[in-house]
Amino acid sequence: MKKFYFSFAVLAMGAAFLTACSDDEETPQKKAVDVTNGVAVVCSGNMSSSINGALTYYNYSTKLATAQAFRLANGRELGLTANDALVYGNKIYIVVDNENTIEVVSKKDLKSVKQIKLSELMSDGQGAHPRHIIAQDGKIYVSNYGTSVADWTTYTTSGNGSVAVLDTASFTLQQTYNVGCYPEGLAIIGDNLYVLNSNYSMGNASISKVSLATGAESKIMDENIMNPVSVVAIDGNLYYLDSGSYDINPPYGQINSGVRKVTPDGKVTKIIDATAMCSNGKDIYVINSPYIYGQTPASSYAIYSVASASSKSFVPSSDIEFPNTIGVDPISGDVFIAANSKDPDTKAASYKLPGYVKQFKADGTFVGEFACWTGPCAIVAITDVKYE
Amino acid sequence: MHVIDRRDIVVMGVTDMADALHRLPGITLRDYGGAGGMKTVSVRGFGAKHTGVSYDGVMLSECQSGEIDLSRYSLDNVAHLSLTVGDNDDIFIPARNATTPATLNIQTLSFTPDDFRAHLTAQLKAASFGYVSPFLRYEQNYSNHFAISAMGEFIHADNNYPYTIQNVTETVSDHRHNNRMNSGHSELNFLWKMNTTSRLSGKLYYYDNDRQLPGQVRYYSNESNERLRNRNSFGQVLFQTHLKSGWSLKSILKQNWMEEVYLNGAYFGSSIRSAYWQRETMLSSCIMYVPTDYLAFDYSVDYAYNSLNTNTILVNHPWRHTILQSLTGKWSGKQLTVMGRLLYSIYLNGIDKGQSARDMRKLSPSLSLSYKPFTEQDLYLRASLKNIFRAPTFNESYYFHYGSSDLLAESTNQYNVGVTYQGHLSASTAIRMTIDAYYNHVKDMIVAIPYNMFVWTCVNIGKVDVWGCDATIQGLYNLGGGHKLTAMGNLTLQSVENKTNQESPNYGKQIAYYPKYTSGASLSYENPFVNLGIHFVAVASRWATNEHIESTKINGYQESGVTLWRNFTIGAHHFSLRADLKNIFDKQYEIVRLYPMPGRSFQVSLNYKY
Repeated sequence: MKKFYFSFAVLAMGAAFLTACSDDEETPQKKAVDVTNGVAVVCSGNMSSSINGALTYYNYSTKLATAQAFRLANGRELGLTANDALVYGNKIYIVVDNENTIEVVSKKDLKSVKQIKLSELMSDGQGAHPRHIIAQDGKIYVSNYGTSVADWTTYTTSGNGSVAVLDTASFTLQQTYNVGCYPEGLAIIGDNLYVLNSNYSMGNASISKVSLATGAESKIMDENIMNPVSVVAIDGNLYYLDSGSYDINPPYGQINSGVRKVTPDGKVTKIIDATAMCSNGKDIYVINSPYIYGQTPASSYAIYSVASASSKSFVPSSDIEFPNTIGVDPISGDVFIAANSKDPDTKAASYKLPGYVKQFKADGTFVGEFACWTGPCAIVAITDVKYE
Repeated sequence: MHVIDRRDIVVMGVTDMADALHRLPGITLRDYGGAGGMKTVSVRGFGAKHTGVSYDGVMLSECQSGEIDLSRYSLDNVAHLSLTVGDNDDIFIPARNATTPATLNIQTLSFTPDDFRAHLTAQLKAASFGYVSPFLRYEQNYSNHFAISAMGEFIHADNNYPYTIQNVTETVSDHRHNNRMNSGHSELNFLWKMNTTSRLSGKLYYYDNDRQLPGQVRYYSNESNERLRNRNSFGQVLFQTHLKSGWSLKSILKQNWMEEVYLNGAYFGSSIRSAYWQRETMLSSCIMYVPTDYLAFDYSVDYAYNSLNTNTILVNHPWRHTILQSLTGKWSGKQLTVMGRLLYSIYLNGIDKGQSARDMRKLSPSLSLSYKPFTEQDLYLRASLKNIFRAPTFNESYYFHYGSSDLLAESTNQYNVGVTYQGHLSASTAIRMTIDAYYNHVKDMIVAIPYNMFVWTCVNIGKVDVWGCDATIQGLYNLGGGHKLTAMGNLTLQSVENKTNQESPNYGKQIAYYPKYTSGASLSYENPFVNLGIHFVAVASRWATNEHIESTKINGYQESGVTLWRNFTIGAHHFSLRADLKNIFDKQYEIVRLYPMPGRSFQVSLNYKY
């Protein structure tokens, strides 16, 4: 199972929302300008080595990174397997898989506003293992595995994956949409919610199309939908990352991973080879670093323009050995690439040592580097509105 | 060799198998907590896969994971427990008993009656957190030549014990959930003394354990829905004969069956069941020749066939033929004892589908000597060295994406020097002391490395150096009039260091889960009224990761207990009443990170013998 998740389309939406409903205290005569204060890196930690997840915060103005910023601000841990985050309004929502929680913190100082225990709001085992989050119209949408379980005897999955809809003012459960097994990324186009059912990479994966009004669900299935993990909606189409599958023959590499386009009528086309992606709402940034048994992956990077349906390569001016997550600041256009450190003993990527993040200009010029926590898995820009 | 016998179990206030193992020097225990928590041991810095466990002289096998869960063996049927590091003094053993750097020997109760009536032992034990365990044993001599014993025990434990863990500045208090266990074990043994020189004995064994798995403690959630069922049955017969000419023969035949079933996601009846079955057929013969009092030779040959089946797609029915031969010579002079052994191992691997693991053929030497400098004093100077290896387990060789058929054996060298002294300081005071210093080296250690977060594979990459020192002391002071003091203490200092890559920042760091020091002590006062024992165990801090990642430090701990017991007799009926208060200071600690151990608790037992 692969989990790569980036929610930059949502971030752009968040910024737009913010612009529309600015704080009352601010003087209305001044001009509102979108700014980015920094980036937050969600780090999963490592459950099998009992390493808690963390939120790393990189502050643009001080140029300082705090690897365990949530812990520092709140005097407690995020817990095991932080998985995704969303900046929406004046809050950041952090999804923690193995704690069944959504931590809501203030964008200003990362102080906890609310800890949502999702499985306690839901019943029948739903709400367990929350995975990804988006927001729209004052509501957050959280995909969660629920009772999804993989059966190694039949190589199939079963369970009650769903999307929980919560109000961002009262944090109460508004709606539950039932979807497929092991749901991951999600996106909204018009009146429909689209959810990627990864099916634990056991095949038969699908994309649920759910009517927001009625909850009626239909599934988009296609031979190209193998292990879908993260998604954005741009110009009425879905662009999702598929982690592909493992070659069952030596050298057991990752094959068929890439970004696919899905039109509302369910037509799936391959766009570009990739193993990680993010978006600024109009372009898609990708890492292509498929692993091969016993080898350091060869990595390449590209930017795909949805408008022109073409891609150009992105060449970072500083090397990254084990890149696994990419993020983009939608305002400055700076690209952030997070990577695992190299295990000095095994020479493979370490999933225990703290990782690092490199920042580049849009043209690939190296800007700087900072340390994050173990297992970086999502990068979000902390956008805000300044009045000048 | 360190021994805990039936009396020590009472006198030292030993409450269960994990507690007993805690009292042995050089042992690092991994305990997932409570009666149902898995417990494995590693000795002197070798991983748990290097620790052999013998049950009534025959090694137990675990070809899938290589680690034997000692929580399966209860102490109530145990006569004595001993730990052999390096080679055993006894040379008349199956070749497989010499294949590990350290062996834990579990010797169950044997036939004791000298009459022909039925003897019964009945025991009821109850403890905190919903623990109850009845035990029943029957033994009888049917003639001068034939005896039978049978035993059965059952354990139920809820294990929903309270714990607290620290979440930075917050303290989380909760109870363990999904931790219930039901476990049963029964044995039937016979002994046939065919004539003065030959005997045939046999055992039928059955074990069944159904337990919930609580998983790691999490700060904000307490859901877990996994269950594990283990069943094990085996039958073994042992024939032994001693001929006047100095020749002896021992033959063992064993057939073993093990089942492990995981139930996952048992939320609403839709549970997923993955099952693994291991089978073993084992034959062993030992021929010993003792031409004179001071010289002995043994040749042992073992053959074993192991196979693994599963209903999952994760492993494709692997099997292994193992042929082991050992040649041992021992010289036992008045002052000098020397023992040398050559072990030749052949492992032939096969699998139904896919690439089978490498075959292996290896010669492993070992040598030990003991010197008694003064004929009138029980002082022994000891030295030993042993070169041995472990073959990759079936999981390491074949498990879906994780196993690698290219693996080499993980090889180990161990060197030990030690002193043993025992004697009487006065007519009423006896003392026994041991001090050992050791150096161990592990190379080609099998380590799982990731090539992404979800796909890991095993490679031979690690090197570990162990320097250590174990010391034990036992003293007995007889005050007269039925008053007796017994004191025991042990101390282990060990550095278990990663020596994989000199340029690495991990170089020289203590390997995960090994404390730099452990110690234990117990003192008991036996008297005609109520016997009293107190004990404590102290273990230094450890890391949960080889990289020593900041938040994965596990604090050291001390645990203390008190035992009260009293034996009394009414006619031919013998009773023993015992009460234990465990972890009296209610110290919250973890052995495995995020698996908190129980706090203060009690245990009482009433034992009846007829």
